[in-house]
Amino acid sequence: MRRSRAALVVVAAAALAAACATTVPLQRAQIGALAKETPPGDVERILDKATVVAQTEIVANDRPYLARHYRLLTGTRQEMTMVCTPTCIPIFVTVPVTSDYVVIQRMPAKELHAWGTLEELSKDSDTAVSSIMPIVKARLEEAKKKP
Amino acid sequence: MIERLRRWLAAPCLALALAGCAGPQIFHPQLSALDKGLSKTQAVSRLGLPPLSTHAASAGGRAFEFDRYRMNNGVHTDLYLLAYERDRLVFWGYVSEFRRQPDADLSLALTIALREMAAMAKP
Repeated sequence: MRRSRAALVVVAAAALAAACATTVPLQRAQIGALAKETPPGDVERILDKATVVAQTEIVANDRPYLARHYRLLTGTRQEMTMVCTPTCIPIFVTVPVTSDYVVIQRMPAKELHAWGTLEELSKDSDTAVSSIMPIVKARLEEAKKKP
Repeated sequence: MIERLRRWLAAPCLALALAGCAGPQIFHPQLSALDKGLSKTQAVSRLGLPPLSTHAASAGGRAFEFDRYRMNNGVHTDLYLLAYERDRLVFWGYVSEFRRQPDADLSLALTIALREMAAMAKP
């Protein structure tokens, strides 16, 4: 009885923590719906429910861009907590695993320029993408530090 | 109970011990710090780790240098390479990523470098 109560407390705490989480990660299905020719309105609709972690407007190679930083859900992992009351039982909680993900649009029309992880875009074979990444990364880091 | 607890902890401890034995490794979050055009000194500084070895190879009249690393993917480590041309970082990734990128000379040079790595690994 005591064991099941302890388990319930941990499960309830995990559920509450999940409910309070403010960052909604991008899903693979969302980025799978993006294409170079996707109209700006559709891009907004596709990304709508995901949380923008940071965003910045930059000028690189004499062109203005909007870069938005998301978290991409790449999987889950199980975390174990031992609850002893006094009998010890392991409680497993599923925790999301995410990666940094960036969507870059050409301004002012907001045409989709590039999307991917920081690593993917930094080594993109298209120099129009890889050449702007140093400034995108620096500016996103600055934006994340702002309160 | 203690026996059960010991069993629960044995697997993660073993995994940690094995990972520790694998030598210097890089981890995925470190890759975000890399940019095309970095010099070798800059790339090593950003990764915070020197390569395990360096291999020169040429293809199509171009000379490349490959720095060999091990990438920890959370379960085990894989071969991971940084490629330089004239001391400028041109590409980095797993072997499969090199095969997918469009520079055929770079891919061919990698094949030559991998042969050298395999020869060095033989006792």
